[in-house]
Amino acid sequence: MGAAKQMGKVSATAMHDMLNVLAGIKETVGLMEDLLCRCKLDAATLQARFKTMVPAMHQQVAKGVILAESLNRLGHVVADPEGPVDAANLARLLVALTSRRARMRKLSVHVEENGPTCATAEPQGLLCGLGMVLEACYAALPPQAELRLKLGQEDGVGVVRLRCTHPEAAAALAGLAEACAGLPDGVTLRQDSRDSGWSLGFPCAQRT
Amino acid sequence: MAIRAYISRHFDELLGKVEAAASPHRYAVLRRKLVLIMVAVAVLPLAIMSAINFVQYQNSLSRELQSPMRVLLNKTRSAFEFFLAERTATVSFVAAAYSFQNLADEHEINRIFQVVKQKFEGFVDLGLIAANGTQVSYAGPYKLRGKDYSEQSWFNEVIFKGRYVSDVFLGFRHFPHLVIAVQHLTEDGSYWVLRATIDTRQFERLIASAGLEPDMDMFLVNRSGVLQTASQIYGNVLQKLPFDMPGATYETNVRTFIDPEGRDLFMAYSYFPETEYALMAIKPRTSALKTWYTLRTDLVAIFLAGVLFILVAAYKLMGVLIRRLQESDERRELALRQMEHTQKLSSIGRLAAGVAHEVNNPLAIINEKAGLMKDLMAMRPEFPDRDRYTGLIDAIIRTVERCRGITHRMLGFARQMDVKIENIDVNEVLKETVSFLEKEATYRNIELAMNLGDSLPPIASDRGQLQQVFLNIVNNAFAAVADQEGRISVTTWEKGPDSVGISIQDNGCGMNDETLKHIFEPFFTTKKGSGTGLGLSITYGIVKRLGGDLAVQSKPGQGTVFTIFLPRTAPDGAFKS
Amino acid sequence: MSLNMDQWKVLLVDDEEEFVTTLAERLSIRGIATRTALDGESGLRRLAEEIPHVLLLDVMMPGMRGLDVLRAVKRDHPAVQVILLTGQGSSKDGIEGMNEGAFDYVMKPFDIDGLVAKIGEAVAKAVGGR
Repeated sequence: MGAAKQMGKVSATAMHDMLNVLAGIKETVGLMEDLLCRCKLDAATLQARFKTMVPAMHQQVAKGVILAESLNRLGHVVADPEGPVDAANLARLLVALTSRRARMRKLSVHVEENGPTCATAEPQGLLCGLGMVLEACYAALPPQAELRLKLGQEDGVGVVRLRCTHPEAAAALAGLAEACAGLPDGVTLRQDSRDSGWSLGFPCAQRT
Repeated sequence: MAIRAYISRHFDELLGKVEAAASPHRYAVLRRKLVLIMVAVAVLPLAIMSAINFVQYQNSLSRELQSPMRVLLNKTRSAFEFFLAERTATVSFVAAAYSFQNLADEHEINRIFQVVKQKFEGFVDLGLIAANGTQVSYAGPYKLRGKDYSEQSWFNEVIFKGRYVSDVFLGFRHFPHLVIAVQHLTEDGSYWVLRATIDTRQFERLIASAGLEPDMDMFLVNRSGVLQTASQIYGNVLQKLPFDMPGATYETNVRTFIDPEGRDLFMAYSYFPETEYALMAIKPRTSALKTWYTLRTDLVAIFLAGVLFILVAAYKLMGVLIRRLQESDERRELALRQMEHTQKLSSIGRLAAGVAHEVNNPLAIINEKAGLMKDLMAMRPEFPDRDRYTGLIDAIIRTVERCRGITHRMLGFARQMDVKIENIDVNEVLKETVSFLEKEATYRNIELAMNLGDSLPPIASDRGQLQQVFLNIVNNAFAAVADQEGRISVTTWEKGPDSVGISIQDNGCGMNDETLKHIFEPFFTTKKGSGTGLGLSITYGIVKRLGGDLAVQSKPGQGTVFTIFLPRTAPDGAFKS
Repeated sequence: MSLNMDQWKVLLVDDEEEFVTTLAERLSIRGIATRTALDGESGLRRLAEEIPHVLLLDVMMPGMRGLDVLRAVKRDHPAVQVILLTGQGSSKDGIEGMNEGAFDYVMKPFDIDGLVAKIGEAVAKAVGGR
């Protein structure tokens, strides 16, 4: 249930973002129409305005395309997982699709790779687990915080390290374990003693 | 057959039926029933064996206890018989050895008597009685000479039988004695009788020297039950036994016996063939059976301990088994739920991917149009063609509309992944579900007919699960029909006040009766290679859990109809996530 | 008393900057004086500076939530009519917003003529209610 719920939440967030993208495009293009039809503007002014608005539209479309592609890939991973899925890719998809929620809290999220990353044979489990953890982090971290996800592996186990350098981060994330009760089988969350960050562990697929 | 039916009735529901909601009560009941059966099956042979053992041992122990008594009684009877035989022989010898005249002589008879008395224990007197019954001579302590015995029965008996051994009696001599009389026939046909009195103290001595156990009472009685020797229990000589004599037998018999005072006894007895006597020995059963009672207590204790052990073992074993069964059932339930979740996840994943794909196309279009705008501006430094631009702008706006529809739909669906009960308009959910497949329908030229009943009552259910069910079945319909000529129709109606009916019909390839039988079984699929075969079994499970019903009719080559009935309110347990 | 469109005062609060400036310009082209703010707090400040007839408010914003802004406005300036900009009308936020006293809601992306009509109704209510 967790994974389906996560997938639902992620899809919902992405679609919300998409609506904003579409609204942006619609207003931009609407303004172009207004300028063309309602305003008595000369060609030069029109051209000057349009020259900035068209690229703006491209940008919005590009944002939408990222959302659509990310959701598409995530959907495929979840629906018909064929073979192991690279954990870093999955993490990036998840972050891209939930970026709106991070923006809502004025957080920035980065995905990095620490050495060779691991592929997971259980993408649903990682999706569910990482999704829950990200959601909890978004809710807990203070504004302007920067969250770094470092993907790697240790002793044959895949690891996502969550690090945040904000001074209030450690206190804010203290209750992360309770907030993430009910992680799927094989996915573990523990606090790192060294740098008060957190690590999410998940099973690595066997290398074929 | 009746037994089988009985067993089926009691256990099928508990063991077999998958749908029955697993309540802890059911397992407790099952455990109780199985323990009872196990205990009965184990205890029954044990009880039978124990009973047989008990009876057999009791019998053999009885016999064992009786043996020594029998032997003793025999031995003592032989001693008595020998004693009597010896005394009788002595009297016979005297009668034969001496003539009437000898014996008639007082002096002579006394002399003979002294010898006899000296040589043989117990003689008290000796008397010669003529054929007319008169005592002719007498040797002994009493004055009996001249006494007439002709009327006495013993005299007549001795005349008749030739010899006579009396019961013990107290004559006017006031001590117990018995009489042995022997008839002597002369050569000329006349006869006379020699009579001796024997002191029954010998009897006492015989019994005393029998080697009785301290609790055993042995005594001589006559056939009427009058004591001939003193009995410890039943009184002195010439007292009558308080019970009737057992039947005559010349073999020693030992049997159990409860006397009128309630004493539980072993009685050994034997009648003397030649005389009126019977020898009897009495031994209280309780003491004899002390060992038996101890053993019996032990046996009973062991039996009970055995039963207790069986009970405990059965209960514990059944506990383990039932727990395993419960765990296995729970695991299966969990596995089914997990499969359900996986299926749900798959379907949302597929939907999300589909939607994203759908949205990508219009975005690309917008991209191109915007690009074209840019190009137009670059190509012509002046700005002439407003119509072109407005055309492009309209196109973009329309494309955005298209995206909007798709996106809203996805948003609505994605929000339903949480299980929650709400009032649902079935028609609306169906329309929403079908809308996800509209593209495919258009692309493949499949006709979609929605005959949704008006004023369908809302049902309390979970939107997500309903959608799952509808999606599954409609997807199946899509898979079954052929392009260009496929026709799928969805109909809803109000079935009675409490439920709503939904049917999804297609004109696809249909299924034969054989397939129909297995269609809701897990892992059954007719799609070669692809598919887990779980879809319809999961769908069936969801519908049942929501309190509804799912049925299918099909004819090969003609098509299939799935009919779903859903209740207005769902049962408990329908909405666990 | 009904106002002319050029007398309408509208405040637009939404976190998407490009959307906000574009929509504001479009409304201006139609003769509706529109001010903007990019988040809830600055929105409330601007509202206090010059009280508008209508507040166009996005429900999903970082920082102060749209619904909290709505409550604050209804508390401090009850005459201001609020039109919510939402992604889904039947969503929790839309319904809750209506319960909290919003005048209406529009779903993004929307048709500007429809929006203008709704603004007109809201202005009428804002003015009539005074």
